[in-house]
This record gives sequence, structure tokens and C-alpha cells, in this order.
Amino acid sequence: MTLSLDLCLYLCAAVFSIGVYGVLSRQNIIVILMSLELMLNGVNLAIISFGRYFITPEGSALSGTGASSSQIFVIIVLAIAAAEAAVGLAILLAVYRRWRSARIGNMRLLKG
Amino acid sequence: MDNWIFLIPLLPFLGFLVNGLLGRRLGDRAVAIIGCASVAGAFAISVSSFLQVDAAKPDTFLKQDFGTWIQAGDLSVSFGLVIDSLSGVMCLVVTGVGLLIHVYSTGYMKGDSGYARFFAYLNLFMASMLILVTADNIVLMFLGWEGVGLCSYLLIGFWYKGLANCSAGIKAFVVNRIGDLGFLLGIFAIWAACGSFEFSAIVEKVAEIDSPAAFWICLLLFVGACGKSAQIPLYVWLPDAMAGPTPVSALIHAATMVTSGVYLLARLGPLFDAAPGVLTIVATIGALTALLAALIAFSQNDIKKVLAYSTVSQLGYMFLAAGMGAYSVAIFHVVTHAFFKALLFLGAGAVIHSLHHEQDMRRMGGLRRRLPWTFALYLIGGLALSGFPLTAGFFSKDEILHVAHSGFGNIGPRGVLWAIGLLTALLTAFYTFRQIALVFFGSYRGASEPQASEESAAHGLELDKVKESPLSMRIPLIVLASLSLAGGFLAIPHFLQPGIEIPEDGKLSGLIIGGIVSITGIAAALAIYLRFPRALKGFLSSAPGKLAHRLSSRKFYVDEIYQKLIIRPIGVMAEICFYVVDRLIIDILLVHGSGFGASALGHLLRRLQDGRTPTYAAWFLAGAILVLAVTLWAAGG
Repeated sequence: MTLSLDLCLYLCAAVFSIGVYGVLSRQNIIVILMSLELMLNGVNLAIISFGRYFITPEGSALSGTGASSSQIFVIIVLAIAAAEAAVGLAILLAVYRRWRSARIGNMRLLKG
Repeated sequence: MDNWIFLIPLLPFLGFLVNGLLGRRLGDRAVAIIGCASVAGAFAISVSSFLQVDAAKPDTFLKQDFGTWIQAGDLSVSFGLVIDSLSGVMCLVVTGVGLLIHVYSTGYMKGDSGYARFFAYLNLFMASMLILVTADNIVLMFLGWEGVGLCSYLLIGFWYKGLANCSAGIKAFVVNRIGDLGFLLGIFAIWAACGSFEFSAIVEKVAEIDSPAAFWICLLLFVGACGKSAQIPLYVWLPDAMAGPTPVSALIHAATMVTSGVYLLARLGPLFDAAPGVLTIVATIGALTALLAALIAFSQNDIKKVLAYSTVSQLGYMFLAAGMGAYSVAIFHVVTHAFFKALLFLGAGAVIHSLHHEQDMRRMGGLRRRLPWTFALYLIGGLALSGFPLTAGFFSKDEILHVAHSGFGNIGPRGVLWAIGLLTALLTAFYTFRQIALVFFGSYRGASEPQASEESAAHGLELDKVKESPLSMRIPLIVLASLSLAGGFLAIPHFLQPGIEIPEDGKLSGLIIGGIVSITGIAAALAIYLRFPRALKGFLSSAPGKLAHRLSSRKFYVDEIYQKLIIRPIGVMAEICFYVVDRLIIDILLVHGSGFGASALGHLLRRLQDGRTPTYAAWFLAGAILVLAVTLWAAGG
């Protein structure tokens, strides 16, 4: 059997939503960063799926780009995500040194 | 440039600049010299210009045009000065009397901390007055008109530390403003009717103005004249204006500024001739003012207030003459009045000076032995004011009465006006010599009488400490006294209006009647106040006497009526505006309201900023969902 596009997109939405839930509900910054990765990967999955279903080896039905364009997008997103994770973990380290804790509830300096 | 008339207003103006800007550094002596010299220069140029006018035919004039002053669309006002016979006479009076008063002021104001300021204001006044007089168009005249009003305000409130002085200055300014509004509207109306502001052009186009337009123009201009020249109903500021230094009262509020209303009428004489209805109003108001002010002058105790009401009364005479169309006769009285009233004011100033600023006549008396010079000179002024035969006032006043009596012009209630004028002449002689009796005769009351009024600052002064005033104050008085004696022999009416035809019959009998009336008034006053004071006391304690005295001394309650009818309602309106518009709408709603609204909104919005990152992320999510929903909905999904 072949996976339909709808099923793929449901999976994407599920992964993305789990990520959103994790970002919003978790207190531990490490878990939040992990949830953020989930959100990014949900989107990646969606891009790959669209690429698989809409772009033939001969070119896009929509705009004529090659089959590899969606994969390239995903790789760029992965690279950016890696950079983001590096920055986020660095901030996490600084936060931990400051408060001896990785709980996001401690960081309320922007309170109005 | 074949003449120098531009220097006539310019010299005093330069004096104002120098004295006003540098006066404190120059020292009093230099200030006095600059102040007097600038006016003396203006006087000299006035004389030489006047002689040029005089030498040629009567309708020649000197003119100087300095180009366009105001240009807007087809409206154009030039800055031009003109000296003809009328403005020449006025220039001579203004600069001549002004010079004498400047000289007098050097003595009177000696030691005052505002010496330079005083002379700066006086010079500014001279400049404004001379522009008023020499202007060749009515807009430029209005510039001078406002200038003299400003100087009047500044000089009434010259001793600005006294609240009464300041409020008197404000009163003068506000009342004048009412008149000025009329004058300004009159100028607009003239522009609408003639399309020109120049006096010569207006006079030429009189025939083209239809009579309702002429009526309203003249009425509006007369309102302006009423304000400046203190006629009913706008005379109330002039008596209060006596709060200023006495030379100011003499120069501005007796000799020159207050006569500018008469000058305005004389300048636009042909225009007023085209509006006989207004002339009747002018003559009636003049006569009524003359009578009312004379009645009030009866019971005043302040030496300057008597003279102030007398000035109002004499101005009434001038308007009576102007209302008859005899403008030259009015100007004749302006000139003689300038002489003898300046003399009286300066004499009163000398008395006040000698008594260390005592103005209450109840604390004077018997001063003729201590102040023989002042007494003699004051007596001459009093005789001239009373119209004693052969003095200046005798001729000019009888000329007016004669004009009223003899059928010059076509004014309606001629007989009544003449009778009022004659009655006023009698009253004038009486109150003048009441004053002289109270001040110079009898026994001295200054040391014994307890403080008569709260206003008089002076304390009891022994009679033997009363001294004559310095020479600088006496010489101007002597000059003015000789002018008051001889000024009546000037044939000003025939000089100004060469074609004037005043009927000759009845002239001699008029003079005789006038003389008799004047002598009767003088004799009655002297007899009552010196020989029969008991009879006076008896009369004043009787019921009608009490009523009459009360009406007169309370000035017929005119100030109180104005207070109730005009000032109170305006005050209430101002309060309403203040509390409703200013306090409620502007302060509370707009100013505080906008601030309070912004801050209340801020209080609400700050709750969103709780500092917790997940909250921000949740809002971010909600926003993203919202945008998504809107996009989908807009796409038709």
C-alpha cells in the first residue's frame, strides 16, 4: 500500500502539536528545546511529503523545480535547527549557572 | 525733501528709545535733558512748519510720504504725514504744552526711582500723539490713537505698586478699547464706502456716500471719539486716571490725548456734515456730559478729581461745538483748554508736591500765604476755566455758546443745548472757586484734621513746613498762565475755517451774558465758602441738600450702575466659561482625561507582560492560529 498525502500530513500535524504542547507545558528548558526540535521536524516531514507527492522527477507540476528542491529545504532547516540548538543550549548553561536550575519559571525578569 | 516734518514724531521717538533703553545708565540729569530736548526739537520744527503753512494760502499744506505701509490686495495704506492749518495748530499745542510739562516733570519727578522710565513713556506718548495729529490717513491715525492709549495706560499705572493705580490703568484701557472697537469698525466702513483711507480722498468723496452709510460711519467714529475723549457713556475712566503722576494728568488727561476725539471730528468735518443725525447726537451728548460732569465736580474732595471732572465737562463743550458743525470753534476751545487746564493741573501738582503728596482738599486751606506763586498762577487758571472776562476760556467758551445760540449749523434742540451750556458755565465757575476757596483761603487744616480718607498717604504737615516748589516747576506755570490770559485773542476759528460764517448779531450780548454768568458763579462760590459756611452746612443737612450732595459725591452712581449692569454679567459669564469650559472640558476631560485614559489602558495591558516565557509563547500560538484562521477564511475555506 502507499501512504496517502493526508495520512502523512496528519502525522506531521501530530508531531508538530506534540512539540507545541511540550513547549507550552514543560518547565524544564531542556525538554522545551527538545519539543522545539519536534516542531521543526514535524514541519520537515510536511515539506518532504509535499515534495514526494507533487514533484515528479521531470519537474514540479507547480513551478518546474527539480525533485531535489524539497530535500534541500529540509537540510537547510536541519542545519538551522542545529545552530539554534547550539545557541539554546549555551543560553541554558548560562541560565543554569545563574540560578542553579533549568526551570523556565525562574526566568521572569521581563515581568511588566 | 523740502521739509522736516518727519522729525516731529521721530525726535520724541528717538528720545523714547534712548531713555527707555539706556536711561538707567545715563543718570537722571541726562535723561531729563534728552527728554526735554527731543520735545523742544519737535516744537521748533512744528513752529517752522506752521509758519510755512501760515505764510501761504490757508489751504496749503506740507506733506511727506514714506511709501506704502500696508499692502494687501487692493487695500493700500501709505505712511504719510501732513501739516495743514488744523494739524499745525494741534502740533503746536501738543509740542508746546508737552515741552512745558516735560520741563515741569524734571522737578516734579525728582528723586523718583522710575525717573528714566517716566520720561521714556512721556516721549513715547509725544511720538504717538504727534503721529495721531500729523497722519494723512485714518489708519496711521489709528496707530497713534492706540499708541497714546497704551502710554496712557502705562502712565496711569506708573506707580505700579499701588493696586488702585493698576486697576485705574486697566479701567482706562478697557473703556478705551470699547471706543476703539467703534473707531476700527468706522475705519472698515470708510474703506467699504470710499475705498480709500486718506483724509483728503475721504473728504473729496463725501458726496458719493449715501446718507445711511454716512450716518453709521460717523456714529462709529464718534463712539471711538467718546472713548478717547471721555464722553457719556464712556467717561468713567478719566476721573480714575488721576491715579497717575500729576504731569501725566496735565499732559495726557487734560491737554492733549483726550482732545484727540475732537480732533478726529474736526479732521473729518465734511464727512460729519453729511450726517446731521450724528451731529445732533454729538451735540446732545456733549452738552449732557458737560452738565453731568460739572454736577459731579461740585462735591469732590480730591483736588485732582475736581479738575478731572472739569476736564470731562470742558470736553463736553468741545463736542457741543463740534456737533454744531463749528469744528474750528471746538479746536479753539481745545487750544485754550490745553493752556488753562494744564496750568491748573500743574498748579495742583505744585500744591500736592508742597504738601508731600496730600490730595485731599479737606486737609488744605489757607495756602495762599505759604504758596503765593502757586496761588497767583492757580488763580489765573481758575479764572480762565471759569470764563472770567478777557481770559482765554472766556472767549472760547462764549464762542461755543454763541454758536449754539446764533443758529450756526442745523441742529435740532438748539435752545436747550444753549441753556445747558450756560448753566454749565455757571456751575464751572462755582466749583472752580469752591476749590480755590478750599485750597488757598480759610485756615490751614492739614495738621489738625484727622486722616480724612484712607487714600491720602501724607501725615499731618505743619503749615510753616509747606514750601514753594522749585523753579523748574514754576517757569512752565508762568508761561502757561500768560497763555491762559492771552490765548483768547488768537483768531483760531477764522484761521482754521476761513469760510466759516458765524452770525455776528448777538455776539456782544453773548459775551456780556457769559461774563456775568462767570462772575456770578465766582462770587457765589467765594461768598458761600468764605463768608457763609454756616448756610452751606444748613443746606447740606436739610433733606434735599443731603440728597443732592449724595448724588453728586457718589457720581450719580454711574460706576455702581455699570458694575451691576455690565461688569457683573460679564463676570458671571467669565466664571461660567472658567468653570465649565476651562475647568471641566479642557482641564478635566481633555488634559487629565487623556492622561488618565492612557495610564488606565497601560495598567490593563501590563498584566499581559508577566515575564513567563510560556505565556508569551501561548500568545504567540494564539496569534498564529488567528492569522491562520483569517487566512483560511479569506481564501474562502
